[in-house]
Amino acid sequence: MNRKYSVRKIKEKLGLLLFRAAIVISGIFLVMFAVMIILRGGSVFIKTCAVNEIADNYRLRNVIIKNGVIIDNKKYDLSINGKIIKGLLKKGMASDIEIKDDIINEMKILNLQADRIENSYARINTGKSAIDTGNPELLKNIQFCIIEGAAAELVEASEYIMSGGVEITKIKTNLVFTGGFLENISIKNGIIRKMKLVKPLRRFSLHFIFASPEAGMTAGGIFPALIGTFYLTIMAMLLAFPIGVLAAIYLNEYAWPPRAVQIIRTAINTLAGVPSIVYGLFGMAVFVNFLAFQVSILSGALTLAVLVLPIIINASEEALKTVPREMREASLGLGATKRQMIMTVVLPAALPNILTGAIIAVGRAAGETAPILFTAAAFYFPGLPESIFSPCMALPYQIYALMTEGTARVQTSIAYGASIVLLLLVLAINSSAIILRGIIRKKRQW
Amino acid sequence: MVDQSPKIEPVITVNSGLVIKRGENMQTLPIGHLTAAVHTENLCLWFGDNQVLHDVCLSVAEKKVTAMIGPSGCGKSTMLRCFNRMNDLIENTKITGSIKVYGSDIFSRNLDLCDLRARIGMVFQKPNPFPKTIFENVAYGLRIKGINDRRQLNEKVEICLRRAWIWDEVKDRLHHSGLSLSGGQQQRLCVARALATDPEILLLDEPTSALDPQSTAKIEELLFELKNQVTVLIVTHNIGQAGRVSDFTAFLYLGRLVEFGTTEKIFTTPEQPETERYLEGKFG
Repeated sequence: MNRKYSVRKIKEKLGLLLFRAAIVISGIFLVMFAVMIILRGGSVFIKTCAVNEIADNYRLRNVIIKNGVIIDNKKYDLSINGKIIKGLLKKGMASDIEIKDDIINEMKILNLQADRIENSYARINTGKSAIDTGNPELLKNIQFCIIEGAAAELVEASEYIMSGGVEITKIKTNLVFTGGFLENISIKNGIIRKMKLVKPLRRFSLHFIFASPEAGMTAGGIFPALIGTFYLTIMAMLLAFPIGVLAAIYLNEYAWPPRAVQIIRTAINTLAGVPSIVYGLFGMAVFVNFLAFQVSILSGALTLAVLVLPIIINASEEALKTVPREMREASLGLGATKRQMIMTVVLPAALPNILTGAIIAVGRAAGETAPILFTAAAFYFPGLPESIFSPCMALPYQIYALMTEGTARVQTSIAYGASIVLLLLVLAINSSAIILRGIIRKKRQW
Repeated sequence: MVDQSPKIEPVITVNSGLVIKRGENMQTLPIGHLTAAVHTENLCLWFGDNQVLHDVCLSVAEKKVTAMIGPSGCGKSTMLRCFNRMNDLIENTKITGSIKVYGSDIFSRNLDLCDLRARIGMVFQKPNPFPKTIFENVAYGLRIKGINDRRQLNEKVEICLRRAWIWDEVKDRLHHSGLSLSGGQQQRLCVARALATDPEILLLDEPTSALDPQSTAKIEELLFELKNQVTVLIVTHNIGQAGRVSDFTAFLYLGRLVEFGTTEKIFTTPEQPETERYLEGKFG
């Protein structure tokens, strides 16, 4: 008796362990997923911008420029407020600045993690006159180049003034911090006359979400793709939700005989499992070509609607089945017609659960790439779509395009950033559906 | 299983003492001097291959309370659900025989089923208010008839809630959910809801089986009130309840109507041995 009890106890413990292990494993995967995506893509939400200038009392010495090339800049003397510190150029400092014909041609920035060294060449190809005159536009450009190249991990140096051709004879105000970028570079006769290093300020920015892609999707934001996905999802849901719910009502409440219903259900379940690329081909054949909607939001939304329809029908049918028979009988017993019963009792009661199904469908519609590949998505279409007959960019497809077509490292982070935005979009649509469901539940007081 | 049961001749005892055996002409069966609100003839019912009711012939007197008693599974509830054709909702149901409500056949093709169900109110075993407000629960029967006039609804809802003895408890929270009420209150709300369509007949399917004694007492009180206003058919497991509230009692056993007569007679001098044994609590 005692032994049996202990075996039972062990079984209980093992069971609990198993359940716990399951939830821990799921948790680990989810956390890994979130961390990876944020690590890889989070940088797109950080915008580096220059703010305050650095104090005057820093000096750079022993930086030698020969024939317009800074050589031997490994050693420097840094004077901070009059106190001179000797040392080596640290990682993250600007080095190998190459100047040709009064143009900074190349500038290497140390500091970076090994795999980024290559990118740390900041090529500056601004025109001579522009630099001389200090055209703000071009100065901005320089800044941009440096930031991009050095991934904002630059040395921070403030304003150096060089004179005497190859050797720096005079340093007025100066340099050397990690993290920062150059501004106000003035060059005369192949000599950097003036260079201002500005302290960078990193801050969270929604620029990525609300800007159009620039420079062949290597810069800028993802707004058109976001809007495209939003339109596609909302339109697909507007089409599929009513049809799905009405079809589920027919199947669950009216369809007869049971055998035919069974066949229809099997067909719907099969459709729910069809790979999405097949829907893409179907959409291309029917909506794009046969109905001649062309590659457009309409075609994409229709294809997505067909994709989520089985999901909505299934979920709605399950929801309708959970409405207790007593409710139906009470309604019919009071003389309601079948339609009245469905509209006044069954549907309101099932609505929260139907919405749960719709929430799943929203996630599916927003995230699918294959169905919109041939029907709606444009590779690069930076403007906002004008009508439902124009193609649009879409987040999942843009992620795919960035990862497959892109070569620049920055595109990877844009792709991850776009997936964060996609997740947030799905989360936003889901949350509103969940809030709606909550309101309905509260109102119905189940 | 049913076929192996002892064959019991259905006997209909009427309060005048007249006994009519099965097979005789029961077209104009009298219930003493009373009119029959519901009248069944040779009613048989199958769920699939399982015959649940066997040749039931029963007359329900107008504006009286008729109780249907019998052991579990004897077909009482099924019988009750025949009268407003609720069994239609169950698949594979086959019914033979006839049911007449005030002389008109409810299986007739010309019959408006919704109208029939509005005329025959039903209260179920488990309180089943809609997940709507108390007001909307009672107004439901009217709204589906297309009555949306606020004043008319208000009036009717109050009358029905008063008739169901629940007005005082809910008058201050008519716009709360019907599900916020206690079980007993919910059941009385269901009665009020059923009364809203002015039914001529009220079917109660074990209305107090899920309720506490106090709520049961209130429902029984309510039945006394309803007497002489509507025809009440009540299925109950509670023999005492049948004795207290009903004028007529029908005893069903294994799908057959064993005995039917005035409650007084059934409870004092039952003719059939099964009735007597059931009432004595020997089986059931």
